[in-house]
Amino acid sequence: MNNFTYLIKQGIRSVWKNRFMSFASLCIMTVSLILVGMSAIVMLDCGIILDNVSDKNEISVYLNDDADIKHIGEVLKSNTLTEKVDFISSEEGLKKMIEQYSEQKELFENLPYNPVPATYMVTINDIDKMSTAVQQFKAIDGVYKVNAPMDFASFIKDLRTTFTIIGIVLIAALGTVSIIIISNTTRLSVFARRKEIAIMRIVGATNSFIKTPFFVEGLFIGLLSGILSWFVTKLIYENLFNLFTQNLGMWNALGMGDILQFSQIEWYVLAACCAAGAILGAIGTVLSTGKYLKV
Amino acid sequence: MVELKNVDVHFKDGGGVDALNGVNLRIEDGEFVFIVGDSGAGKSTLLKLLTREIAPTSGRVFVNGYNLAKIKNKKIPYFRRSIGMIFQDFRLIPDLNVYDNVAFVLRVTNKSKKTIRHRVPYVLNLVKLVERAKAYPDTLSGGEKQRVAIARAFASDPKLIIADEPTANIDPALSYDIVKLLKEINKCGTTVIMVTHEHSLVEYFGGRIVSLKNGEVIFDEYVEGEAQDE
Ligand SMILES: Nc1ncnc2c1ncn2[C@@H]1O[C@H](COP(=O)(O)OP(=O)(O)O)[C@@H](O)[C@H]1O
Ligand SMILES: [Mg+2]
Repeated sequence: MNNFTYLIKQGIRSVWKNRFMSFASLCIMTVSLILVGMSAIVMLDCGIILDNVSDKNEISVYLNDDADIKHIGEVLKSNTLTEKVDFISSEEGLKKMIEQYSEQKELFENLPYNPVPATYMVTINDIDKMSTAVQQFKAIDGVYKVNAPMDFASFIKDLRTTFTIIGIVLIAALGTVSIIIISNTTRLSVFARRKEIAIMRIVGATNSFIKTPFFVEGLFIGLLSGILSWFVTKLIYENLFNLFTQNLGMWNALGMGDILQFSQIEWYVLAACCAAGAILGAIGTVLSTGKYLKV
Repeated sequence: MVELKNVDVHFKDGGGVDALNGVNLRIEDGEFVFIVGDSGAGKSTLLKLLTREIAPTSGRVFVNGYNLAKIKNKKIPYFRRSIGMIFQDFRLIPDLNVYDNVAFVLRVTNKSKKTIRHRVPYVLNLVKLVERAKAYPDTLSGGEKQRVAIARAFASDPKLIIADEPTANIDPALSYDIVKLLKEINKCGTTVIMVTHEHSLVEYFGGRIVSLKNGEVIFDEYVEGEAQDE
């Protein structure tokens, strides 16, 4: 145990002796972990938004005044993409609208004719096929207009794909950069302590004893950047979250009301950041000590 | 015990150098041996064989019961704990004080705190540096630095001490003190092998002298010293 604390102390001492490089690698690793962490969270959020939008995958099919309502209903129901069809007559539609805009009640009550067309609300079973459904519904005789939440859904989907790609590229690039910088830190640290290492060899210190402080050093820097990046991610995300939720009504309508609150995931994020930092630190040091500390 | 049997050492680089040729040498426990020879004769190469910094190209090397031609890498550290090494350039750690430089050996070989607390003052007393325990190497004279190195080599109570020109960077007048210290340690039962090219020292102290030339042992005899055997 006495031995263990000695090795830990040596590792921390090594960080301090080599503080410029240690600091540089700490910064680079922290930034890497923040970027990767943020893209991961945004990816999760996109998933949540997509789920919410999918719940609202209703297409509004507005009909012409002289349309054959019944026949169109049959056609819509028989479509393979259709899951559910609800009919809203023009009277019901007007009533709903009056409820919705209760302040301007008079405006609607005194209309010379009912401007709201009869509408079918069609829920489709696959959000990915929404544009196909819209095309098909538009082609039906007597359909005046088709409205779909399509643009937003595809925007979110593009966003998620983008963040997934960015995430993967970031993980690959920044992971490599982190490992390189950590192994360079270790290399310099080995160089700074070469006299000590030579003496350790002479007096019969074992290989693992010689290597352990460098491992501790890499692990320490990794863990520290894990904690730092968690903290910064928390700050950034919470601020972004507040920014969005100030206009909650609008975002809610877009299915964004349920995006993750940092407190829901903070322990997972902390664990992930620390684990990633520690693993990168460990790989970097092992590579470096394997290369520069041969016996 | 140290034993070399028909040892050759060939270095491939620099066009190929035969640093040692057919060396046979046997040193019993408790002996004090001077190894002399011109620069390039192979003295350091011989010592490096004994510390297993290099392996023989052919032949056999035994030190303290270890077969060094065959020893596994994993066992080398444990073998090295049975020997102490002293160099002409001292090789102290500059950011550790005298006490910690000596204690360092014991720490990195897993000795207990209790052992360290007893052993370090004991060896510092032996080399008469107790009052300089807190000093850093930069503030010491060459002679003092080498005494710290001797204390360090002796700290783990090795069976064999190997010194490669330990007086080369020291005031000639102080060289005698260094050899006297090594003689004292030898009296405690530790075998000492010391390489030097200072003839005056060898003539003064006498004892067993091994002379190397072009990688071969050309002389191995006991010589009477000028000094009274203390
Ligand atoms: N690592 C090495 N590679 C190549 N040649 C070496 C090496 N070490 C020593 N030699 C050569 O071996 C010979 C003996 O060297 P060394 O044992 O250092 O001599 P000494 O210590 O007696 O001055 C010299 O010719 C030297 O150049
Ligand atoms: Mg030499």
